[in-house]
Amino acid sequence: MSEEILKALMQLFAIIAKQDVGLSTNEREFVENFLRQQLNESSVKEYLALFDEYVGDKKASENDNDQDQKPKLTSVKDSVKTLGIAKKINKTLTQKQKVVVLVRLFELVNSDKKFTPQRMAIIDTAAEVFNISKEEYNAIETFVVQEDASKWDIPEILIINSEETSPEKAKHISSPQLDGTILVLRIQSVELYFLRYTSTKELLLNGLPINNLKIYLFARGSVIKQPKGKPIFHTDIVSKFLSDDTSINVHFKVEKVHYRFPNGHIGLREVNIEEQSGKMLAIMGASGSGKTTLLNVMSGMSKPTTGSVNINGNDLHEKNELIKGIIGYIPQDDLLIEELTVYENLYYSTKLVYRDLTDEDIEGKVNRVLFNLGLSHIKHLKVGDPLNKEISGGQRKRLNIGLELIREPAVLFVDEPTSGLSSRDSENVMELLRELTVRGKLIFVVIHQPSSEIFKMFDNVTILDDGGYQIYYGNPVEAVIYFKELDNQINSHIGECPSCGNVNPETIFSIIESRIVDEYGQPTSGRKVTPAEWYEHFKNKISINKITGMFDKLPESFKKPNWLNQYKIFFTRDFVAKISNKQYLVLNLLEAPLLGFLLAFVIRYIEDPTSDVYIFRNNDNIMPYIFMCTIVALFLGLIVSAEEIFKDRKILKRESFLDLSRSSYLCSKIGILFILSAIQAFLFIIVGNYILGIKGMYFEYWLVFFSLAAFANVLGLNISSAFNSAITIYILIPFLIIPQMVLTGAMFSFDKINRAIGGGQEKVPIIAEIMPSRWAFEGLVVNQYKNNKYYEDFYSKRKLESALYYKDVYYINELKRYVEDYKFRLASGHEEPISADDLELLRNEISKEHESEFTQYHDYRFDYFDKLTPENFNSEIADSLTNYLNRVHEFYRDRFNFVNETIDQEIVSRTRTPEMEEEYQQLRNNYHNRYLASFAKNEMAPLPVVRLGNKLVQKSDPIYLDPQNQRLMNFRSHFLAPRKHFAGNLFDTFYFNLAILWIFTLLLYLALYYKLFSKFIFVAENGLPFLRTKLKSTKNKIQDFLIKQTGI
Amino acid sequence: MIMTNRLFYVIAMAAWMFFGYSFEAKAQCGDELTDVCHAKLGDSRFIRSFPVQHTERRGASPRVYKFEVILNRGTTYRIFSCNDKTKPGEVIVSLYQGDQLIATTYDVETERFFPYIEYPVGMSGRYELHFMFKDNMEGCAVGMLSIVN
Amino acid sequence: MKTPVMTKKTVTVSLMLSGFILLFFMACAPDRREEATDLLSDRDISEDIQLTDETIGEIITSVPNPVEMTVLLQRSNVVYTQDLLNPTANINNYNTNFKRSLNLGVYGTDLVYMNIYDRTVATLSYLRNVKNLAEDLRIGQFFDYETLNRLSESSRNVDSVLYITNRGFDGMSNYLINQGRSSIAVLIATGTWIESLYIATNVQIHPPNKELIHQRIGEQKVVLDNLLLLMSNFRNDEQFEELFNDLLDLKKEFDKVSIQYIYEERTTKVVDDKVVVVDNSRSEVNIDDEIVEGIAQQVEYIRNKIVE
Repeated sequence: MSEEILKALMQLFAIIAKQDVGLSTNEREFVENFLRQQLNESSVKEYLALFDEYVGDKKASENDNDQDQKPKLTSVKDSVKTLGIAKKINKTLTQKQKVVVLVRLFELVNSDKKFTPQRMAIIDTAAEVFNISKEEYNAIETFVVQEDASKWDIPEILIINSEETSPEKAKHISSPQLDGTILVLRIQSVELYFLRYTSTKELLLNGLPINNLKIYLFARGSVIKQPKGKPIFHTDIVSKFLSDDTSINVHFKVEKVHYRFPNGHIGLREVNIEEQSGKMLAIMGASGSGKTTLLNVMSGMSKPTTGSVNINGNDLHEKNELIKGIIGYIPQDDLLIEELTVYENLYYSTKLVYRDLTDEDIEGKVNRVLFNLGLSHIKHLKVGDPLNKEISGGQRKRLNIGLELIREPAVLFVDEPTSGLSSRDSENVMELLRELTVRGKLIFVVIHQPSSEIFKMFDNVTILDDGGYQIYYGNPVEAVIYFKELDNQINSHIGECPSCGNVNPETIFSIIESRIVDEYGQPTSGRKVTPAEWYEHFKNKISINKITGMFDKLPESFKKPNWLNQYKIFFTRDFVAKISNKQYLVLNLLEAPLLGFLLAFVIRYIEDPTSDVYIFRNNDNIMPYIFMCTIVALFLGLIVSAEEIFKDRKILKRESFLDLSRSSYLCSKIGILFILSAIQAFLFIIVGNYILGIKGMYFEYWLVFFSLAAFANVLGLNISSAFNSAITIYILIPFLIIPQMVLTGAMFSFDKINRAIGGGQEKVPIIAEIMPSRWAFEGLVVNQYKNNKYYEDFYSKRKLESALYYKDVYYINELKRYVEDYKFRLASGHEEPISADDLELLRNEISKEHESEFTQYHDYRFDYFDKLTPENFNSEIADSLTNYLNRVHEFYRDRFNFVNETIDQEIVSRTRTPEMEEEYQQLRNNYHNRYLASFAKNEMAPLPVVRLGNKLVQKSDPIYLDPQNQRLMNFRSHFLAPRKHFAGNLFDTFYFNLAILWIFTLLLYLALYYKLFSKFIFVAENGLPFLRTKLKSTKNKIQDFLIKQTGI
Repeated sequence: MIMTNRLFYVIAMAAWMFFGYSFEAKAQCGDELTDVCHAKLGDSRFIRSFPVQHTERRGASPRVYKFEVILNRGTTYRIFSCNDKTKPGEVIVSLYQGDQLIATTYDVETERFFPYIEYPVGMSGRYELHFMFKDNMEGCAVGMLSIVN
Repeated sequence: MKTPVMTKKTVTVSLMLSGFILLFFMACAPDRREEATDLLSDRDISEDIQLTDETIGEIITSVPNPVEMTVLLQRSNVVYTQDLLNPTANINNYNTNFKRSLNLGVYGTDLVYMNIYDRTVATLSYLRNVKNLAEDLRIGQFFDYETLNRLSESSRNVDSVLYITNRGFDGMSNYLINQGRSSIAVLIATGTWIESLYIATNVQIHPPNKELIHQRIGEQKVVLDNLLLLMSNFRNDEQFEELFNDLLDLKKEFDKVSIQYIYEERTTKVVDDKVVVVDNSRSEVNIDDEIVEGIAQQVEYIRNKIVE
């Protein structure tokens, strides 16, 4: 207590003491003793003098007016003073301390038993200012003042006596050997316990005798020892006050658990543990000893290689669902959503757990938990991240625990709750856990280097050594003795220092790990006692207490919300978190339009150096812009999603116990990301397209950009859920984007890439078929070329013109060439004037001609088609073929001219007058891009027609060419085809490509749901041994199956 | 190795240039033939090419392919031709003004072909180039008109 | 969360979703007419043919190649004048076959002009224009990728460049005539010729050479007659008609030029492998500045109409 407080208290005591008849010797003695408990000798004298001073004035005046002043009302001056002091105290003391002060005040008055109204009035005032409730006030009063045993029957009091029967309202412990009564008062609001003993018989509190006139604070870890009879522990008393009806009695048994990692290392060797509800067990050991592994196995997350973990007789790893509702797991790291407030974190967690509760109920539940955690006053603070602390480390930890408590699990697993916390915070957290234990939970705690205070809080401790050996299991205090004994050190029986109350757990570890010392006295790396040796000792020396008795059947797991509700909760939670993170929002929303602006602005090319007028038609950069759109879409999509699941990893682990639907979680994530992508797409396209003068196709561009970003979103989620570090994920991103860049078809023509991977063929190389960027790019280019306002009217005619042109100028001539070559070789006496392959080519092509749509308009057929074989082909057939080809050629030429003329006429009619011409010109300038057209028509192609195998393939004007040679389900075609073929129908490329893109996305979603990426990596990392075991087990399964079926 | 390759290449090119049309063997009718014929320009400047293709016609007199040109006074023109060796026909080029024959590349009496006609023009006006294939054989050829500096 | 085994339900749902997506997009695809096949059906081919394609092919070669005129100018020390040429940006204004053909000829002449004066760098954009116009007219194969490659490779060698360019134009002309699109060939020839004449009539010529050039200009009279003959085939088209009439107006100017033909003996002699003609005939052109001016004005009028 600070000087200020003490002064204030002295004043308060003085005021009370000098009421009515003034200070009595008892009172003064009380004050003196009170001071003695807290201060050293000289300070005691000092404050006592102060006290005397405060009282002094009154004493003097008292003597004067003795007769006149009988029962006098408390002077106004005094009550004001009281009020002032009380308020001062209010501000500086904690509630607990205030309660203690009040109790002391009562004690003071009780020392004389002078309960005058004035004194009571002052105490009353103090109590009011201290915000102590009426019930508690009365309870304190009863406890301190009351001598009549019958009056002790109030719920706040616990009576310990030798009687069997329990009182009505008060709690009761029967201790048959006890003389007199021990009274324990519980102040619930501050969780304080006070103790009082009515008899003068010997009774020890924490080793020191109890005075029946005094009131003691009954703190944690305290124990009452009687000369005869069992000791009474703090927990025994507390557990009487706190009984949680809702928790069930759990018997937890870890039986001969042996765990082997996939790579062969042994994690746990024959670990045995048996505990029941109301106990707290510490799991300790050096790093690498298997603590976390044990925790994982016990909590059901990893399956033991041999042995079992049972809860009330049910195997945890087999009856997963039943047990999920009972187990809670609090990992070492924070599972908090940093952007949300303390309240919000709990709120959403609760909503996920309870389906049937109304929002009001949930609110109530949350507030209750907050209160129990002591977090009510910070519930509206953002959690923040560990670097930007808004709430303290201890508070974060308590919140983490709270998230688990919502579910009211019967068994809790806590991993290093005190790591990184200050000693005060650590104690707070452990107190909380202790309390939970007392309420009937079973708690397993992995803890490292606890203070002795905390160490004593555990009921049992188990210690693991390197390699998963269990080398101790039992009482913590006795652990020290055990090891010291084994180590043959001196003072082996003194485990506890009575005066300082310290049990040093470090001692244990120094014994366990002590090393052999070499000739120079330096410790070597060899241990005196190996883990296996400790283990042997343990097996021989210690047997674990068996717990018997019938245990309850496990309850059904709580009802979780349905899929849609889960989805809504996940979605809202994520949405709120993102919205509240201003930086995230601004960055992500600004990124897109900024990129769009930069890109578009930089490439806004005006061809004519003397002009300022931007002409869309002449900007050669439009095609690259479209290409960049696809890359930016992928990039943005990946960036936004790459870390999502990774961030949530721990939260997911925790929520795995809730048995929530993975698909609803994933869908909510996807929902949020899609919304973000849609907005980003919109902003980018609006800015980019506007600056570059791409008119009228905003929706189509947006659609493609969004679809591609959506694909990247799901892809990002996949890698986010598969990898275990953020860096790896970001390193992966270029590997995902660059191949897509290269194989879009924009940077490198598919005709000119390495033949080994499909370049130069008729169709798009397969490797590019799996690049979504390519589908998107193609869709956009085709769309831009075909469907723009200028070309709408012309496209179909141009398409026809192109087909005719191809036939006229290239195709027929090519065919004719074969015949001419034949004639030449024949004339010069070649042995084989025409090869079988060439004839096959002619057959293929002629039959295609026969089947082409054009044959409706002419009736030319090559009559000697079947003579196109090596045996039958001769110079007459050749002549006949030439005739046929000439006629067909003429047809195509003729029709080409006509179509060309027609189109020209249409243009002429649209440009008749200067105004019309101007309008037409504008239209053309605004909608038709020259370079894009050149690209779409593949004007840079080395050859317009090529031979592939024994057929001819058109390479020119791909944008005017419908897919050829299609088998029914084959949807592959050449690059930039205007329509795609599938199942006998032709579909507009733009929409077809979009559909493919969405199918890709769907497939990726399935991969995400079934965690295919993770599985792949797992196999890759653990490679051969894993495959071998998998193969073996599969083989066994098959063998078993066969045996069953055939009876062999 | 590289040096010998180069040498070989140079010799081949030189030979090709010197022996001109005898290396026309593989040239196909059309553009390629024109390119090959281009080599015969020497130091004259190319003006125009005249591709002709002839298929045999039974019976009737051999067909003549005519092209009108305007030749200018003060300029010396060079006229020559190349044949597609894959075909039997050999082309005869004749220069006419109206009905009057001015020069021809084939001397009927000596049955000799002359590769070039050189014409320093005195009278500007319309002229005609006639192309005909000897013995009415099927053939493909290109006529070339160029200016001598 | 344990991932569940691939249930039948999941597979079905996925398949259905895929199918649905495809259907959705199919349905959403706008209904466009992909085929203009109505244009393929037989139609009545009735042309007013006065000249056959064959005849056109024979006459069209008389339209002189710009090389001759330009070489003459260069030899006469006429200074290169870039400003006279048709600006490349004008290509954006040529939408119809008519305009495109004419200007293909115009740019062709410009190209030759620049090459002869050894302005090879500036030729690039003109070459691009030639290629683009040829593409638009569907005769792009004569200035294809390979040809352009050759042109750039031999850009130092003017003769090569001229050869390739001229060969290209010759090729186009032949092809068009064989194709049955002789109107375009005629327009190209016309454009070529007009531009040639335009340059010749607008450059600064100094006295000793003036006469020679004026005479050459006068000699174009014959070409114009041929052109008019060629054009007459297509007068049913109103654009042609307009041009034809403009050319008729030009003819009126040219009618003022008189040419005398003096026929003398022509002999040949054989020198080495060549048949050399000895020509004693002559022609004399009577033309003066005024007539040239008249021609120049009309040529300018026609030319500007073509290139605007």
